[in-house]
Parts: sequence; C-alpha cells; structure tokens
Amino acid sequence: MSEPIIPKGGGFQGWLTRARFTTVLWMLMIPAMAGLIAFTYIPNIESVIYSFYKWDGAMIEEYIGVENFREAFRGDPRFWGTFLLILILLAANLVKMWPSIFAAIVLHRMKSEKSQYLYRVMFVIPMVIPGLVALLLWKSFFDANVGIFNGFLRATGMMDVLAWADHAWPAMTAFMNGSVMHWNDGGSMAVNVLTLPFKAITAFFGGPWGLALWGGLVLMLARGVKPFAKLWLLWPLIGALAFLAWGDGPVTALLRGVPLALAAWGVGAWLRARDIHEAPTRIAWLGWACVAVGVILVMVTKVWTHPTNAFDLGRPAWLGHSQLVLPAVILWGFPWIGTVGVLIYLAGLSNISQEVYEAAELDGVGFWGKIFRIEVPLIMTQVRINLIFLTIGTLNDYAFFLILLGPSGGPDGAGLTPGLYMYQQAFVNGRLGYACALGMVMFLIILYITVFYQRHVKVDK
Amino acid sequence: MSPQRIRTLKELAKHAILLGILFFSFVPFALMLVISFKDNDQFVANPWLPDAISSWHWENWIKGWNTVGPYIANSIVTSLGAVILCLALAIPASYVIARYRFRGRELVYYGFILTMFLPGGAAALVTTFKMMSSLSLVNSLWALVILGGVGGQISCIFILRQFIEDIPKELFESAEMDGAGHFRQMWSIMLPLSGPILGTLAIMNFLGTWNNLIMPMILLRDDAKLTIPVGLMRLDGEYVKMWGELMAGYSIAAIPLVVLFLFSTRMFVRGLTAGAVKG
Amino acid sequence: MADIELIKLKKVYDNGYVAVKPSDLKINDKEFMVLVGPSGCGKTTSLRMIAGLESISDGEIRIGGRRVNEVQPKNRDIAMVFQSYALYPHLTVYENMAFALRLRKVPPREIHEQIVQAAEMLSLTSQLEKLPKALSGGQRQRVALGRAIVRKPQAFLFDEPLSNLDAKLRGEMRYELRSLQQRLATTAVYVTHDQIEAMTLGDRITVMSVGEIQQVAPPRVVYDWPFNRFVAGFIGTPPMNFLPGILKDAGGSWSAQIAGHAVPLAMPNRDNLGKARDSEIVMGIRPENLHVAANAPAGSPSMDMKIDVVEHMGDHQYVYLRADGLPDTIIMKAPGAVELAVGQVARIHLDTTRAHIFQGRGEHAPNITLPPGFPQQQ
Repeated sequence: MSEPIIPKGGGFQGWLTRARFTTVLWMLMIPAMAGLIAFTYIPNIESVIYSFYKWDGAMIEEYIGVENFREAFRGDPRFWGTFLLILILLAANLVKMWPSIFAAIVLHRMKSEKSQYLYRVMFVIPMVIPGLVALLLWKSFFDANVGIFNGFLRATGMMDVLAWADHAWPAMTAFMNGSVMHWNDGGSMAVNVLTLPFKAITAFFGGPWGLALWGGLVLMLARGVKPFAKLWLLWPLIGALAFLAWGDGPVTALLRGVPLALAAWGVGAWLRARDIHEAPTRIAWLGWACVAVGVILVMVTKVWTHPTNAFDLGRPAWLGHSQLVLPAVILWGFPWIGTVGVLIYLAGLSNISQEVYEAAELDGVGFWGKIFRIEVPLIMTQVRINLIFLTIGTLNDYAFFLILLGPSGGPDGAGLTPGLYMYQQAFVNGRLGYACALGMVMFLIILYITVFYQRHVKVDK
Repeated sequence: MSPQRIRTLKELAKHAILLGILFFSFVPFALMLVISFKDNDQFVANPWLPDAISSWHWENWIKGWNTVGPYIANSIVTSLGAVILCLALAIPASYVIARYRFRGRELVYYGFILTMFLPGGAAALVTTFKMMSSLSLVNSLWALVILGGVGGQISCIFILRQFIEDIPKELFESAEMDGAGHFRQMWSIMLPLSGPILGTLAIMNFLGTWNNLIMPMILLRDDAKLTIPVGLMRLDGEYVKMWGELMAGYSIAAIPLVVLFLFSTRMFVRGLTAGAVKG
Repeated sequence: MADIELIKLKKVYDNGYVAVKPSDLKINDKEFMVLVGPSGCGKTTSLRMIAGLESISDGEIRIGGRRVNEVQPKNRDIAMVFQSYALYPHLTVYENMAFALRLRKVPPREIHEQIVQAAEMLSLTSQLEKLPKALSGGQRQRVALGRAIVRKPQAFLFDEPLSNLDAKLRGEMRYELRSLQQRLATTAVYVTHDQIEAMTLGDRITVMSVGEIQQVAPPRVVYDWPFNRFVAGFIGTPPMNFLPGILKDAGGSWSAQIAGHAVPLAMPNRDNLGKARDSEIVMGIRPENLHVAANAPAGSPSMDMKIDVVEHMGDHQYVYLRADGLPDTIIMKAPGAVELAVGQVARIHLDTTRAHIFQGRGEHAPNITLPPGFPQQQ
C-alpha cells in the first residue's frame, strides 16, 4: 500500500505544494468520475425519483407518492409470479455450474503444460463469438420445422420417447403437485408404486417446495437455536418461502411450518446426541440433499404439468409452447461451459500443488475422493463468488428473454422474468414510472441478497 | 498393466473428456458454417454435413455481407471508441486510487464499485434515453461510445487497482526519483507491467460494446448507423427465412472478433488467467 | 556533491505514531554516513524523507544548503538504491540504467558513454542486454548501483541494499560499495540494521532508536565511547555485557557492588561518577575485556563464574558464563588456545579500565564515564 507522499506543514509554501499535488491527483480522476456521475448515477437516481411519478415518458408526469409501490406490493401478482421463473432458473444454473467445474478439474489434472495451454485457448474461443450470434444460432436450432434440435431428436428416436413421456410425465407430476391426494387413485400398480415417494413428500412436506424448505431448516436449525439466531437475515426469506410453499394464509403456513421446524431441530438434536464429530457433516448432507431433491422436483413438476400434444407430429415448437419454453431455456447452451468460470476455477485449483495429489494418492484417495475432498473444497471461494454474480445476473437479466421471446415473454408469459416484466411495463404499456418503482423493488431484493452473501457466505480472498 | 500404461490411459481419458466437451461447444458454430453454404432445400434435406463443394452456395455470403456488412464499420467504430474512452478514463483513475492515500480515496473507489449494485435494469434504460436525448445524442454513435466507455471503466478500475497495488511501490518511487511525472510513471511503469491484463480488459470491453443490442436498438434510428446486433435482429425477423444467408450473416458478424482473438491469443489467455486469479 | 542537513526533522504518521522525533543531523560533503538501528527506529523513514518519498511533518531538510521540503523527489538530484532493488522488470539492464537519463533528455551518445563506464566499473558489461530476471542477486544489486551511479547525483541513498544477499556475497558487495564510494567521492546515506555493515562502511555512523538519534560519530569512537547503554549494546558482536549493581564510593576509590562482589573501577574518566553515588548503575564491559585469571589477587576486579557453553571459532572462542546473582549470561572472548571445560567454575578477571558505567537501569541510560565535554554528535 502506498504511503502518502503529500508534504505536510511548512507554512504557506508547504500548503501551496500540497494543494498543487492534491489538485493534480484529483485532475487525474475527474474525467472518470464525471463520466460515472453523468451517465451512470444520474440516470439511476432519476429512475428512483420517477418511481414516485405516474409517467409515460412524454405527456403525463404526475407525482403520486408511493402509489406505484403500493400497486407493486398489493395488486401485481404477475410481477411476483415472475420470481418463480427466477427460482427455477437459479436452480437450473446451479446444475449448469458443474460442467465448468468438472472441465476445470480435468484440465488441471492434465500432466502436460502444453496441452493444458492448448485446451485453455480452445475454451476461450467460444467467448469471442458474439453472444447474440450464439443466441440466434440456438434460437434457429429450436425452430419447430427445420430446427436442428428437432432433427436431432427425430434422428435418435428421442422424439418418440418424448411423445410417450408427454402423457406419462404430467400424469406423474400431477401427484407431486398434490392435485391427487389419494393413496390409491385407481391407476396402474406401477404408477402407484412409482409415485408413492412423491405422495409421501406431498403429505409430509406439502409438496416439493416444502421439502426444499425443510432442507434449509435442517441446515439452519439442526445445529441448535443459536446458529439459527445468527442467521436473522434469512428469517424474512424463510417466511416468504414458507408462505409460498405451505398455503395461502399465515395460519396454514404456521400449521405446517412449526411442526416441520421442530422436526428439523429434533433430527439435529438426535444426531448431535449420537455422535459428536460427524454430526455437522451429516446434518449438512441431509439438509442439502433435501434442498436438492426438493428443487429438482419443483423443476420437474412446474415445467411440464400438462400434456402438450406437441410431439406427436415430431415438430414441437420449443419456443412457441408455454410448456416447452422452460425446458428449451434450461437446455440452452449445452454443454454449459462458461469460459470465465473455467478460468476462475482453474486459478483456484492452481493452488493445489502436485505434492498434495501425491499425498492423497498415498493415502488411498480415489478419483471421486480427490474431486470432493480436495478439489471442490479448494475452489469453494471461487464457486461462491460465481454464485453471487449468478444470482444477481439471473435476477437482473432481461435481454436474453427479450431477444428470444419478445417483450411479452413468450407464450403465456412463460419466459417472463422480473427484468423483462419491467421492460414490458416501460416500453409496451408505457408505464415508465411504475417500471422505475419495480426497479427499486428489484434493487432492494438484490441489496438484501448481497448483504446476506456478504455476511454469511464467507468469501476469504 | 504397468503403472506407465495406466498413466497414459488416464491422460487419454482426460483428453477424451475435454475433447467431448469442446465438441459440443463447437458444434453450433461448425453447423453455422456448414449451413451458410446451403440453400433452403439443401438445408432441409441434409442439415448436418456439407454438400459437395460444387453445389455450395457462395452467394449466401455475398447476401449475408450485403445485409450485415454495412453495419460492421459502425460496430468497429463504436467498440474501438468505447475501448479507448474506457482506458483513457480508467488508467489515470486507477493509478491514483492504487498509488496514493488521500482523503476521499475510499469514497471515490466505492463510488465506482457501488454502481454494480444500482437499481438500473430496464428502468434506467428510460432515464438513460432521456439523458441522451437531452444531450441530443439520440441516433448518434457517440452515445454508444460514451455508454460503452463509461460503463466499462468500472470493472476496469476494479481490476486494474488490484494489479497496480501488486506492482512493488519501489518501482514507482524509483521512477519518481529518476524524474518521472505522473504520466511518465503510468506510461513507463504501470502500462508495461500490466500489459496482458490491460489488453484483456480492452478486449472484454470491446466485446461488451460489440455485443450490446438493447442500447443501439433504443438509441439508433437511421439505418446507416445501426450496429451489427441490430442488423442481425433484422435478418432474424424476416418472414421467410433464408437459412443459408442467415448463417452467412452470423458468420460474418463473428469473424472480426475471431480474427482479433487470433492476433492476441497469447496475451488474452494470459491476461484472463491472471485476472481470474484476482477474482 | 553536497552536504545534507536535517534540522529538527520530525515525522508523525496519520495514526499519530511518531516515527522520527525532532532530530538534527549534518552529513558532510563526500561523506559516507550510515544510519543504523533496530527496525522501527525511524532510520528508513528519515532516509525516505531525504529522498522526498515521505512527507515531512515538521522541520527542514537542506541539500547543499537549499531547503528541499517542497521540492519534488525528482528535482532533489539524489539517487536511491532500494532494498528490493526496484529494477524495472520489463527493461533490460541497459534500459534500466538509461531510464533516468532519458527522462533528463541527456543526449543518447552521452547516455551510452555513461552506461558503458558504469558497467565496466561494476563488471556488468556482458549483462547489459539481459532482463533483470536473468541476473543473479549480486548482479541485480550491481545494476541497482549502476542505475544510481550513471545519474551522477548529489548524493546516494541506500535503503538496506545488502539485506537480500547471502552472507558471502554481502561481504564482497560491502567491499565494492566502499571502494566505489571512495572513487566517486559522492555523499552517501546508508540505512541498515546490521551493525557490522555500519562499522565497516561508514565514515561516521548515526545510531538511532525509537525515533531518536542516540549518537553520531566515526565507528571507532562509537565503539570505544558509546554515548549511552543503547549504543553500547547495539554496536559490537557479541554485544557488550551489562552487569547491574550499586555504585560505591570508598573515599575516592570507586567500586561497583555487583552480585555481592565489590568490583573496583579503574576507567580513566571517573569525575562524573559522583552523581550516581550509592545509586543503581549498570556496568558495561565488552567480551574481549574479560579474561580467565586462575590466581587473581583478592582485591582485583574478578568473579567466579560457571562455564555454560563454549563456541570455538578457531583463533578465539566465545565463552558463555553464568554467575550467581547476575540475571544474564556473560559472554567472554578468549584466545583459542585456552583450554576450557563446560561445567567448570573459572575465576574471571574484569578489565575495568575498559568498562563503562551507565547511570540508572534504563535502556537508554547515559554513560557517565565519557571524557569531559564529549559531544553526542561529532
């Protein structure tokens, strides 16, 4: 860190030198600051001001106080509905993160420096191809009639599998969604047996959301009440999720939530009483497993709830059917290699010396052991950083869906993110003031997430 | 099997995995090139593999060029302008922030960093547009240059600051005693020593401006001023799609950047890796 | 060529820490002045203030009679050699040396001459086109010197330049530095924490502690007449032995009551001892002034001590001794030929003609056995 070399004291002469020196420093920064204030701060601050206005960008400009916010919180289920999509996308992104990690690990284990460099170059190339080109390319692949994706499905016979699943899957998810609650609903024996776990989940946890949420409760509560109290920032989130998962009234939510919270605490207490050293790990595994299974079930059940009948002719319009938009978006960009991600993970991995590997080998650590005991823990810092940017990026993004599906968010608004909804309000409905207010709400949510990450997801540099 | 054999097999497996991943990454772009030489009938009949060279439709590329080509110059000008502006703003600012301690230093720094969390999003599009129209920069490439440069400087300052702080301060002090002023120190010490990262930041900023679609779509009116992304959107929006021409257009839009990359592979990969270490 | 004057120079950091208390120091033209002291004593801060890299809180620095407080480092016409050498890693040896001259718009031909001359002087001629990373530690050190030399500055500043070298190389570089400075006849200020470097390099040395100048004098004088206990303990290896006691006056003949023994004092300057009569003092005596004296007479200054450890160095040996009632181990330097067995109790003669008496028990207790009118700075 540089020390100040700004002279001090020395009467007027000294003051003059000092003033001249500091002035030069500020002169060097002023262009950057001026640009920042003029083109970043002012528009943003203005958008905050306009959130209190009824404004259409041209004629109407009228101060209405917090009316926009009241509308956002009370009377706009569509806005809040978009967050469901965000949650699904986030869960999908959590899965899509792994190929990059995996590629980085394989790349790191490569013995030859030369081929390592060569692969690194190869991984960078997709990055310089304009994002829009890649996006439009994929869009054309998903075209119903001549799209390569459908061609691929037909050529491999997967289209028939999908056509079958189109009826079988929604029938199955119907159980998971809790629409059928009888233990035996008259279906075939196989279906009854297959859906038994889902029925159980629905009965005990109130559906997959409940399972995921319970996993979270286990993670926080099972270690005792004290750690939970430290996580006070999470309380409102849990409350909101409980509300979402366990009913439409606070009473229902409480009726379901309190016993489950007690159960989570009880499981932890039991585990901690039985063995002392392993308990935290086991609690963590149990918690994350519940979260993962719950989230996967949510994705499965929310994505494909009704038969689409789109596969029978072998030409499903992936981006033209409300049920198919999400699978297409989730599949998007396969094999999901993020160049920057790979390089960041690689940088984290480079801290592992060859000796560590050799020691692990002597200790008899196997292939998976190396991944999960050495490599993944060591890049956790990078994973967390990525997680932060991923969350904020997913929440803020609208350009992707705008280009893909237009401002309406595709069929039935299946691809409507909060950002896109904002865009829609502003540029389609001409409600600029309201869009600004929604922007403010988004800002608060992102601020909350950022603060939470800062506090609880420790990133030690 | 001898341990030697096993080791070789393990290496081969790694190559296989990486090549598999890369294969899927590159398939879309390979298909893009393949299809760009087909007409619609050929495309429907055989979308996967190239046809015989004699039946290649070279004219797709001419049509693609006619559609996208006029916009390339605009894109190059705006992206280059944004890069130059960004570096011109970020270099002195990060030099001062990294080298000197003075009252208000942290305030200035966090003033830059905080913008990453501003409400922004779609709402700020409107106010930005309003600001641009009050500066009568609507329908002007200058607006894109300014927005690209000013927006890009934030991450530049964030990363450059860390790099400059890692340069031993004795080097700056030594240069100062040798008679170097601020600009001389930037030019002779800071720039050469942060070469790869600077180049990488420049390329990233270039890419950012090059890829930007929303801003040009909102701000530009004249057809003669559009940038490539807007042009591509137009190609995509045509009612009867000529797939070959479309893909040729996409290829043309991608090629300048690939060429840029080929000229700077070493530096870019090195800079990206170094940047990744910093997080 | 110029002298450097520090007048009531003071440095206070922003957090209130006083790094340098108001100090006066005059470094003469063509003199090699060494600032020495433990880490945190303010020596490097003082040097950086002379260079202009650190702000001056109060007081004044004059170079060649000109006040330079407000002068930018580049205009002070001084060259500095950093501990880390601060070679520009992206420039060749030649370009490193040429950097400052280029900035001064020196004609290229002259630059070339200067560099060739300096390279010859430093035997770097064959390395000129290499980058710093291709050089060894000693060569880098030489390049850093060369970079300073070619500028022909008014003064050289050295900030612990040898501390990154191994012991052997350090000895060689010490010699080269000294002969170089004598040839160039340029004022030099050299900061180090290594008292051997201070003793061997300096025309004069300035001993500093806790931000204050303790003594300024030629090395011999500092060794023979330490101004206070700190200087006495810091200069010399192994360090001076300190024996706490009470000063007694038996009618004109002084003695120190140390660990139950009455040690008669025989140093030349005893006129000031009166002010510490019957009070706590510390007697300082260097290892070479202790001798094994098997049959010393009863009235002589001697004590029985047990031999703890013997370090044989060839022509001499260091003997670590313990005595009842003394808190610290006593170190004696004995000729190599003397046979000494560990565990043996030996009678040790203290040559009090070469001992010093420090008034009080403080770390900076003043020496009250200095010649009359002995100046702190000379």
